[in-house]
Amino acid sequence: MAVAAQQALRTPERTPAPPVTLEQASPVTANEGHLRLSWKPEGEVPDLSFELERSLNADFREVALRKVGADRASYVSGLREGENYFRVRAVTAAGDAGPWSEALVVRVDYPSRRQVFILMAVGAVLLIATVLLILAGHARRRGAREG
Amino acid sequence: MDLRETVLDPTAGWLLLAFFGIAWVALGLYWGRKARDLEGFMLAGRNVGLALGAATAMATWVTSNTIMLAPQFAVQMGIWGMLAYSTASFGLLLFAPMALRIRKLMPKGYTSGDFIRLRYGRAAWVVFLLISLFYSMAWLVSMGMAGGIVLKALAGIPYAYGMSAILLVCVIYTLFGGLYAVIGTDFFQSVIILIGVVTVGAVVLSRIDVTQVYHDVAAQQPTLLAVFMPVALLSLFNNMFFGFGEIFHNNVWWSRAFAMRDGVSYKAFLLSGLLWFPIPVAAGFLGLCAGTLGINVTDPDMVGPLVAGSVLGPIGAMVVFVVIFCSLASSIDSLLAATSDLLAEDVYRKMIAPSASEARVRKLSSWIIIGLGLLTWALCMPRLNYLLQVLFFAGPLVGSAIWPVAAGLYWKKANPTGALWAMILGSAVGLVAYFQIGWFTAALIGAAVSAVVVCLTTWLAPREFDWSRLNEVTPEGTEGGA
Repeated sequence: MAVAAQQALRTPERTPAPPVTLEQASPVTANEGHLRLSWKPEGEVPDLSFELERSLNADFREVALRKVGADRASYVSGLREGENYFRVRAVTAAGDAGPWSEALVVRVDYPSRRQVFILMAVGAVLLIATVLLILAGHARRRGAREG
Repeated sequence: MDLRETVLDPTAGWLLLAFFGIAWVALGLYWGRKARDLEGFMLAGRNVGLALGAATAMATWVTSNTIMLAPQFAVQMGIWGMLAYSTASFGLLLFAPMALRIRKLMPKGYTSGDFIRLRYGRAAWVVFLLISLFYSMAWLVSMGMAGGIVLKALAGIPYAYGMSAILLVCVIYTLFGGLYAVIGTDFFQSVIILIGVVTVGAVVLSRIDVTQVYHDVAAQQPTLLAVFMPVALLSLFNNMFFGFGEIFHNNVWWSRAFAMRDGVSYKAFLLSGLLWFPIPVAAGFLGLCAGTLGINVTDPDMVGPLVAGSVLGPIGAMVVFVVIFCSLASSIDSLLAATSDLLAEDVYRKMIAPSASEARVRKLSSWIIIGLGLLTWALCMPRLNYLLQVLFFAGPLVGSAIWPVAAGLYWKKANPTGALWAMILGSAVGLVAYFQIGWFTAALIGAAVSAVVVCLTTWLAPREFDWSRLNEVTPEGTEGGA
């Protein structure tokens, strides 16, 4: 730690990481539980990398951090129903992190359980009917031929 | 702008493209020497055996979508998403008995359109052709575009060059060799695909801690492991019925049923379905490994190739490149051949020139293949990404054809007007569901509406059908025995 601090003092002109702006405007709806986030740094600094934080709380008290490297987009999926919060920041090659961006609110509203169960029941009945139609027809024709 | 680098050196990409392009053309020309008459060109002499039959069905069904979309399904919908993609194999399994029946009822048949016309009449036939041609073109364009995009992402080959090269190779060997060339090259392509997928899967599994993958997904994407994942659960059935619709109605599969020797088609389709089932699971698993490997996913359809390239290095990237090239070629060639058959037989010979000779139809088929290739190229060239979504609109359309086809094959009293309205109403209601609820319900709802219409009309107004009418006399006067 002491060595790092001395090195930092010897290089007074370290470029700070610029602020970053998420390109999506809050609130975003993602009813399938996934979306592509993209961002822009406000000013170019060589060898920037980015960190993306995700939380279920607006104050980011519990977070999942993803280091995304130099990419300026990230595909997020497996979102929980309700409001999900994202923010991003730039980090310089020297390890200096810039400020976090404004938080982006992503709202996820999955189809209701009732709708899902009704459609799954339709699917199950249709599957059984289709399989029966084909297999019964096949068995009947085979039986007729063998008979 | 994404700063991801390509996983394969462009020179290596060009060399692989040139090597396999020349190999497919040479093999296609070699296999296609037998395609002297119309039956040889369109249906490989109706003499395809079990090994070639199973291989061509499997290779055709492994599209670039399987390699790219299965990992995307895993990234978007988790475990259920992976399984949802695998349900597409059920279509091949169920088509096995249907293929036997098709061969029995129509020993001299040429296309799926022939069946609908003879079974249900001209009105249903026209609707069916519109559905089938829309779907086939959408599939062709999506494959062409996917080819260009993947070659660019993997090896930095410019989109226009990669897309054009793949289309050109497939057009050349399909043009000269017809279904002989398609099935022959499919055999080699299926072997390469199977070896490639198994190798990549095995190496990734040996180098990755599956427990760690589980913990990382649980921390970063918890819903992907949830038992109740609404969209994924619905997509399970939706994808299954999309697959049924694609296989049951499309001439790609019917032409294979007509082309296989008596008794072969049943085993061939069963075998291809069983071989196909694990491929999306293996490819899908790659999608779940991205977080553990520290790979940032920017485009979900590229996660599979990226993970394979990351774990296996340049060799892995080459394997993925070759597997995707094979899967693209094996689908594009089949679509070119089957769609040209549909246009030559159903549109030209049955609608425009019923007395046309076989030689003339054979010649016209060649021109149609060139025309289809050019049309696909023209549609792919501007790289309009929304065209990739068009294939998903086809879900309810093909879903609406499941019951008219299946009931038409097995129910003597299926009502022709009912079949017509089943396709129209199933497509319409399915498209409404696509926009009102989501893509993950469209094929399911389209198929369900269609099934209800077929059942109701057959129950209320049964129409007796003489199966021997399907054994149509061709213009040359050749008739097969039913």
